[in-house]
Amino acid sequence: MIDVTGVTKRYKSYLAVSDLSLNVPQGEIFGFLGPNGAGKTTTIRMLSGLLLPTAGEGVVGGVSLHDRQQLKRVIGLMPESQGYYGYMTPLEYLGFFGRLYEVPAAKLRTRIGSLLETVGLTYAARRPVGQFSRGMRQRLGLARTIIHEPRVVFLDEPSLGLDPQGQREMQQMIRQINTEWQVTVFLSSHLLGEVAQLCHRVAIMRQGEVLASGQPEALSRELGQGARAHIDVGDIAKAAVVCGEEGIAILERDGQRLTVALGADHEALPRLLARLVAAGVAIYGAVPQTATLEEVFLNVMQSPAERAVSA
Amino acid sequence: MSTVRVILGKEWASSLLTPRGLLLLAIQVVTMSVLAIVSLSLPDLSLMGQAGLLKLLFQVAVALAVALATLAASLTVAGERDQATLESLLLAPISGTRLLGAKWLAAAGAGAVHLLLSLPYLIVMGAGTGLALWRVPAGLGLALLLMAGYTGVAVAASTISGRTFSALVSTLVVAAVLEAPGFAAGALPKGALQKWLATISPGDQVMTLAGNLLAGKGLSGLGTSWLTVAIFLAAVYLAVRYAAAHLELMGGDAQ
Amino acid sequence: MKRLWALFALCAALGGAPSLAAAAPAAAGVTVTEAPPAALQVGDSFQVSATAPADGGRYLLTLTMLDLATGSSADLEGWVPTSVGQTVSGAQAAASWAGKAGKAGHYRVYVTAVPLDQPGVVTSSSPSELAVSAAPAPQAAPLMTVAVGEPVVVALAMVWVLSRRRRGARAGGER
Repeated sequence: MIDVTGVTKRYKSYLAVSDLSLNVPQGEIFGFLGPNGAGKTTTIRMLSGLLLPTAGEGVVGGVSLHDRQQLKRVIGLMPESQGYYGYMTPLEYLGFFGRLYEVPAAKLRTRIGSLLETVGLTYAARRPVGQFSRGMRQRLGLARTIIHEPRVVFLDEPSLGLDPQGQREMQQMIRQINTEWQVTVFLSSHLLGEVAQLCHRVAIMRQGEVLASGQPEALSRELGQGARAHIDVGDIAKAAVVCGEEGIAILERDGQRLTVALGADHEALPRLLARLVAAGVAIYGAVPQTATLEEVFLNVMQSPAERAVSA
Repeated sequence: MSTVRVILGKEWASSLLTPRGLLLLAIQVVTMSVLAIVSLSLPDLSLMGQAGLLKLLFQVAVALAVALATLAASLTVAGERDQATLESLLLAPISGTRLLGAKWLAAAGAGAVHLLLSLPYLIVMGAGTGLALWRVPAGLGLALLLMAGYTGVAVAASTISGRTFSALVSTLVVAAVLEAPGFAAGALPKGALQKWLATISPGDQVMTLAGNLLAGKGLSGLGTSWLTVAIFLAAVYLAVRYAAAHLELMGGDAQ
Repeated sequence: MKRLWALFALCAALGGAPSLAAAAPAAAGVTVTEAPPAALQVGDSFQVSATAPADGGRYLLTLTMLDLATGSSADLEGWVPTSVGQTVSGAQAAASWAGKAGKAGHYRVYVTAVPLDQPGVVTSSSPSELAVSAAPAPQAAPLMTVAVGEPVVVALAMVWVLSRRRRGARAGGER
């Protein structure tokens, strides 16, 4: 659904996006991560037809990046800071954008009704948007984004500024439009938990370049600082000696709990547990841990030199 | 054309049916009402004669309508940018030229409503002067040329300037530069310089054309006035086209 | 200047005349060369021109506009003085007055020449009759109807729009 190669955007001497290649299949929720200024918004604007790339080729929703007018018909974009016409009601607002996208009048009426239902704003359909809370506006923005049945939607920080309840509702709606409306979702967010929960795959970007991409679990395995485990033991001193003999690093001691680094070796934990039992150390619990997306993100964000220092 | 109609509808709704739009209409009619009542009650004004009063009222109506419509037009794109609604508009499948064209047409149309609201005052003022009353709406029709020009200037400035305040200031500067020679000509004794200065100002020339209509004269022999107005409108059209091309770039350069 | 009844023009002999007697041709009295139209409306402009006696002497020319109803000179406030007559090498001294008819009525207009250099005869032109009718005035009733009616209509439109928005907001607020 999104297939671009070598996409680059340069503003005079500033390289905003460098040689970006992405492939997002239809029906996927794709997470796009990166710190502020990484080039996420520029990428989204290029993929949605707002900006012409300086170089690179590709298609989004089957339309070339260079055919911007046609591209705008097959994508929907919810910008990071989206404004609203405060004097309009949701019915007028969605009607305005629906007509702008040339959605047939009869279809538009039913579409607006079902969208308001989806985003939970039916009760406020005749209320001026100027009186809406931030959460309500975000939900209306999501409805506006898909009013013309786009094949791909780009959501730039859709949960920004929402309270936990609002974030949760937004995630549910994103999942719903992905499954019920069969829309490919390209999600840019700073909420790594949200991305980890929603996205089938993610890409991490820094300074205009994609540093890593893949499924969140795979990234955790490959780019987290290795697997680790919490082990609750009876004799922590003896257990530490056993770990030393096995060549397993102890990351933390906390009361009777050891946190150990297991590396990429899947057999390390059962082997260690067997050795501890053999040494007569009582084991009350052993919980294997994988790196969170946040840890992966922070790890990837470090420059190679920084990674070497922290290693 | 349907996308243009959609933008037109939205712009008219926001410029005529919102509190701000209605306030601007109220300013127009209240000013006209005050002038009309004053013209009845102040004996000094009677020296102007009814025809003179009609001319004065006409000039005030046109100047006020153009000023108010231009003020509203200067907010049209910059205001969208300030409210962060511009990106959503640019995402729609409508070209920048059509988007600005629709906004320009809407601004000039809203200005036409201001002129239309002034028409009853002028008709009543003109009745009994022996003037054929079709000349009053015809004069306002000529004023629409000035309206189209200045709302176009405002739309272009609003697009290029970026923000609301700078859009307002740049529109005012353009208007001042264009109309100052006309005002200067009014203060100078008759002569070649005075005539040349008056020729530069589109406002002065439109008022000359409309003034001839209201004085019961024809529009022939005013080639210079027509030429000034035509050059003004052509320049504004080019400015709007330039701004439309600029709008495409400005839609996404804020990264 | 509030009740100024005439504009004055000083006719000055500018040389070439060693004595008034030597330079004086036959005095012909004051002649109005451009009389006002017989009928005017309030607000209309008009012009009066006259020549002084052509005897080489200096004369003060005064325009008088006599209001026949009141028997007094008309109030010429707002009129613009125009010229000073001069006699050059025996030519006739001329003066002009431009003004606006400010009040309806019947007037008699004439120009008086007073010699300045020696006692002599004060002469006057033949009077012209001038009728000033009231200019058409704006019709108060329809103008007031529009002046009051239009703001009321716009105010009602504002109230309607605002109440519609408020109604919508109230209806939208109810779950």
